[in-house]
Amino acid sequence: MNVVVINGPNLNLLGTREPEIYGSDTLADIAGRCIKRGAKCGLQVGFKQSNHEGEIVTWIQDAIEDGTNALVINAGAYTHTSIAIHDALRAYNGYTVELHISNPHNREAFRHVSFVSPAADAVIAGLGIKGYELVIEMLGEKANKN
Amino acid sequence: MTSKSLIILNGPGSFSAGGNVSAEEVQALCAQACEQQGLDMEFRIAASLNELLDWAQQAGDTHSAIIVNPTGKMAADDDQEKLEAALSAGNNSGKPIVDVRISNIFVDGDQHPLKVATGKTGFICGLGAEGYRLAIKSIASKLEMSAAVTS
Repeated sequence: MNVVVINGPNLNLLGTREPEIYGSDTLADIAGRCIKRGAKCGLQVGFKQSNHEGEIVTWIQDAIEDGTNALVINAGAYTHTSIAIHDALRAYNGYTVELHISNPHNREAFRHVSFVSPAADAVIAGLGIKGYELVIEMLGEKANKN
Repeated sequence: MTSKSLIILNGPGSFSAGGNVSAEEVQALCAQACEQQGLDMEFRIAASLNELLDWAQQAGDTHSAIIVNPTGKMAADDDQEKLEAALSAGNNSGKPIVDVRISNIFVDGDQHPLKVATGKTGFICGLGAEGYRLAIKSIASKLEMSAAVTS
C-alpha cells in the first residue's frame, strides 16, 4: 500500500513559525518519522510540501493517475479557501485523511470552514505533530486488516 | 509513579440501534487500547444530556484526560454549547480533551466540532471505532510529554 502525505503553504516553516502552536520539530523531522513508521507496517510513504495551490492540485491528480492508495492532506490555509483542492479530492477514489496540527475549529472564525473535510473520509486535528505518525500507523493497521 | 486515568464520555444514544458500531465494540476496543498505553479507563454512556453535563463538569477534576463523543440525542447547537461550557468550567488546568465522532460530520451535515475555552482540544471524525484508539494513543503521548516536562 502506498500513501502520499501532502502539506500545504507555510508548513515548510515548521519549527520556526509560532512554535507554541505548531511545536519545534521541522517538517523534515516529521517526514523522516512517517517514512520510517510506514516502512515498519509495510507502507510506502511519500511526503511532500508546496506553497502553491496548483502544485497541490497536480499532486492529487498524480495520485489519481498512479493509483496511490491513500492521501493524507494538511492543506494549511488552503483548507479554508480552495475549491480547486476540494474538486481534485472529489475526483480521487482512494482513502483521504484531512490532517491539521492544531485544531482549526478552536482558532479564528476564518479557519472554521474547511473545503477539504466534505471531500475527505476522515478528519484529524489538534493532536500536534504526533498526529502524522498516528495517521500512518492507523493506515498501516487498516492495510494489514484488509 | 501515579497512574493516569482517562474518562470516555459518550452522549445519550451515541450508539443507537442500527448504527455502524456497537457500544460493546467501542468499549472493548478502548479497554484494550488503554491497557496497551498504561492508562486507567472509565467508559460511560450518558442516559440524558444533564447526566453528560454533570460528568463533563467533574471530569477535569477526577481524571488526567477526557475523550468525549457528543453525538446521539443532542440538539446540534444548544446542547453542544451547554456541553462546551461544562467542559470548560470543569477543566481549569487545561487537561487534554479529544472530541471523537464515528462518522465524518462534515459530510452528514449539521454537527460541529466542540469549542472548549480551556485546554487544547483534539478532534477526530470519520474513523469509526478506530477514532477512539487514535485518540487514546494521542492522549497517552501528550500525558507522557507533560510528565517529562514536570519531572
